[in-house]
Amino acid sequence: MNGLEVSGLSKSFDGATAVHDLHLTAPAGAFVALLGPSGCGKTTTLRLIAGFERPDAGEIRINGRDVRGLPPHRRDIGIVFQSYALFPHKTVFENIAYGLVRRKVAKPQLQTQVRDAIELVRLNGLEQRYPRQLSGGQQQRVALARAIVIRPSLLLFDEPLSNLDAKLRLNMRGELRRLQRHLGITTVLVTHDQEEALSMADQVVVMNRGEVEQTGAPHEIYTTPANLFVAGFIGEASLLPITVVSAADGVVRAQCGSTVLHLAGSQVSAPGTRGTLVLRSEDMRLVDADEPATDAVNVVEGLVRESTYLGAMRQYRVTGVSDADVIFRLPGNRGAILREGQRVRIAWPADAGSFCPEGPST
Amino acid sequence: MSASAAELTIRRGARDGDALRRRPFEPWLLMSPTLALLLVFLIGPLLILLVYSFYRYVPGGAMEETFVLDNYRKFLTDPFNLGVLWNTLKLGAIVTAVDVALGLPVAYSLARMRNRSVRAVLYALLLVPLMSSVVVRSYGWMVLLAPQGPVNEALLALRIIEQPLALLFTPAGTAIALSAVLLPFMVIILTPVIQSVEEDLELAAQSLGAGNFRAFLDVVLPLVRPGLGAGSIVVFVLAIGSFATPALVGGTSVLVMPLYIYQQALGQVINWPFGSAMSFVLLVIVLLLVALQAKLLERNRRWREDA
Amino acid sequence: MPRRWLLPAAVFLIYGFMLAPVLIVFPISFTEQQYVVFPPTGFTFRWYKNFLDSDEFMRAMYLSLRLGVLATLIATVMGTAAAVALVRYRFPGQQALKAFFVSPIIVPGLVLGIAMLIFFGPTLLHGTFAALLIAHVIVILPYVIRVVSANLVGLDIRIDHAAQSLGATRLEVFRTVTLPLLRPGIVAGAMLAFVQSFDELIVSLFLTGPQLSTLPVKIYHYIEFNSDPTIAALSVVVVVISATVILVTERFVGLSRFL
Repeated sequence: MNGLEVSGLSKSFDGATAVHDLHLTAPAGAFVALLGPSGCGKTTTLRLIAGFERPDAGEIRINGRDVRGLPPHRRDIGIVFQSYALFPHKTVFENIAYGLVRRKVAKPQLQTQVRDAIELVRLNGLEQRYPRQLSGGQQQRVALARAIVIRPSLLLFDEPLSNLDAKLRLNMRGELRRLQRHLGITTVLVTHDQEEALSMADQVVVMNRGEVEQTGAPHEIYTTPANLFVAGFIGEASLLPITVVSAADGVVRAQCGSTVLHLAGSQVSAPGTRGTLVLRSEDMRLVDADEPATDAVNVVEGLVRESTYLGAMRQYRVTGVSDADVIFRLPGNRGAILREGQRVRIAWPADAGSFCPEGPST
Repeated sequence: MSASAAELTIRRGARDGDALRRRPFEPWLLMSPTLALLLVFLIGPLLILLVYSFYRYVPGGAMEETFVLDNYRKFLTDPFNLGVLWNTLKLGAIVTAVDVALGLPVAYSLARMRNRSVRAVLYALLLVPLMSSVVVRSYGWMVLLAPQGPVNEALLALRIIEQPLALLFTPAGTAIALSAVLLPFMVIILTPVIQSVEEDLELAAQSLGAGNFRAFLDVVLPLVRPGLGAGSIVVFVLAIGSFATPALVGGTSVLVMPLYIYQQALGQVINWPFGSAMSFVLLVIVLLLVALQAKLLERNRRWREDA
Repeated sequence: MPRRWLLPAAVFLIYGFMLAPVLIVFPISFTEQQYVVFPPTGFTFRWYKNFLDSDEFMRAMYLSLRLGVLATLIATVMGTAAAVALVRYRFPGQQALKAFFVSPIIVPGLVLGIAMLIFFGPTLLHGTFAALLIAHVIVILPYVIRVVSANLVGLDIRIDHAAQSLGATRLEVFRTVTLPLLRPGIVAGAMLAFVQSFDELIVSLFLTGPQLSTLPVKIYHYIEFNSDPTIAALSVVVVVISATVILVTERFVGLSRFL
């Protein structure tokens, strides 16, 4: 039985489509991330799953149970809101205990369960404080404890880390993941931060304008984006427009501007096929003038136009390779430092990158 | 270029710092007409009222200019007069309770309404009764509650009663009409208070197992308590000072202080000292309640800002 | 889930409760019967004609209108000035003065009425239009001050500073920058004040007489002795005038944002 099954989910507001025909299956205990830019429908999807909105069409099953007719308080879910939504007039203890009180759990068990939850999120000593007396990170953990203490069938997180500062956010990512694994509750996390999604989730659902662009494991999304949107949204990519020239013995030759590139292990073969080669900077390296292109290694030449210092990395925009820009990174500390206007040669293996059937966006 | 250009500084907020320093009499100049008018024609009459309340009443419509506490004593010890005071406060309490019960659902719906145009229409509909003279609304209630009026006709048609209910010229009818007349005030005060409770809190409660009403009780109600108190005081103050509705809809059936005072001032018995004393008692009650309301609002604000 | 309709249904009924008296006078004003009966039978404009033909009522109507316009003009000028002082300056006793200027709203109309009756009693002003005017100005001032202040608080003083830096004197800045920006608030406050004056009953009750009577007072006295539908016709007129002023103001200037 799957933890969460969503099929054909659609919702419009005042004529504007927020979610269109969304399908999503999460095995029990899995951690799913809904990732996308603001307005893509990920939060609406979450609210539909929670029962705060009613879908125009589609089915939602939690642990096999059809919840469509059920109001939120009967769906057995736990939610952590972006704003935490802690009850300001209740103490930390009372906040966490609320779900148990609603379920009429007997006092002794309630005490134990709340204490355990507090232990789990490491809030010991703060039980009698009020939310306004806590820091952002502490409030977040109260919200977390409140949602997990009831051991729901499904955990929903609505951008729970976005109000935390960068360092805390990184720490909480790990903690959340560990907690989720420990508890084994099916979880859906909504975020616009791709690092968050990639680092925490078992399955990433990339959304854009109400539709699912791609669903898959994090490394799949990263290394083999299904389309240009995903390619552009996840990480930094160089998008090279290519046209297939010929294919033989598993090696595809494609034209990219004035250069011929080799793609190995690619599914594409029909000559004339147009598309985009998606390359990650990690696959590229600087080469000298005397290293030629081969069947197994592609080499392109271009001019450094822009250089950005990112701390750990230096990022360069190299132009002149057909119409596209190559985004290239070198380690910030010990890497060579390229000057603007400098002519460079960049190489990558023929089996690196992935092919997207779309052309360059208009 | 004027000298002020050279002195230009960018300052946040609405206050004009330059004017503060150079011409401190300016605000007083602007306020003087209002100040003068209020001092002479508001404070003046109220002071005279206070003075008159200590005069002695001479039967026949005259007064003796002296200083006695007779009027206050008469009002606060005579059982009939105390009865009037009690009726007034009782009416106020009932009307306030009804308006809290009816105002909360309306204010909640307005506060949580997402459709802007519907909300605007509903707000406008609130203003319409407020902006109609209280005479008109009271007359409307006289028609509504009459033995052959719509309310009785409807109840008879639905077979809820067999004989027309006596509602007009009864205390019950007065309470009903006054509740309706003052309800818009309660709604207007409560709506922003409920709005300030973020909806996520209710959703969180629901996700944890609370139904809609339960979530409202557990989350919204405790957090709007100060606002509820303030709204209640406003309605109560308006109710105990209300004249037209008890006079028209209640007739002689319920004697509240405003009616009683009116009788002393312009009715058959012209007893200005007594009328003044009662007016002052009413005024003091109102002022105390308003001060209490200010305290409540202050406490609400401070409690929310505790961080 | 039928329970979803519970709240909207309740709200609908409660709105009916609030609006019923205002709505009921409309059909009643057209009834053919001499007395008030529901449902009304027949259809006639007779009661409106009654009202228009009546010297007394028309005079009362004109008095209310004149009084309203005059009181509004005075209160708007005074109130706007006071609002500017309270918002744009800082001086000792500011909070107290602010409360004081708004206090007429708090004083029960009845208390104010009897106090003024006694106050003007022995004076020349007793029973005059001037006394009535003064009372109305006092009653409606808080509304002007409240609304204009709300508008003023929302204006950024830096706009004034920018104008000054471009060479305008403070008076010019007020005239050409602040005042135009205050227009919505001033208009809304004035309209609200007018309606309050036009509808005012209780204070006026103490300061009017057989010669000098406002429309609400006339209606009140008429109800005391008569029960024919003329009152309904009158009420309709009062409601239409008040509602029109408020709804038009709300539509073009926006009143509720200042409340």
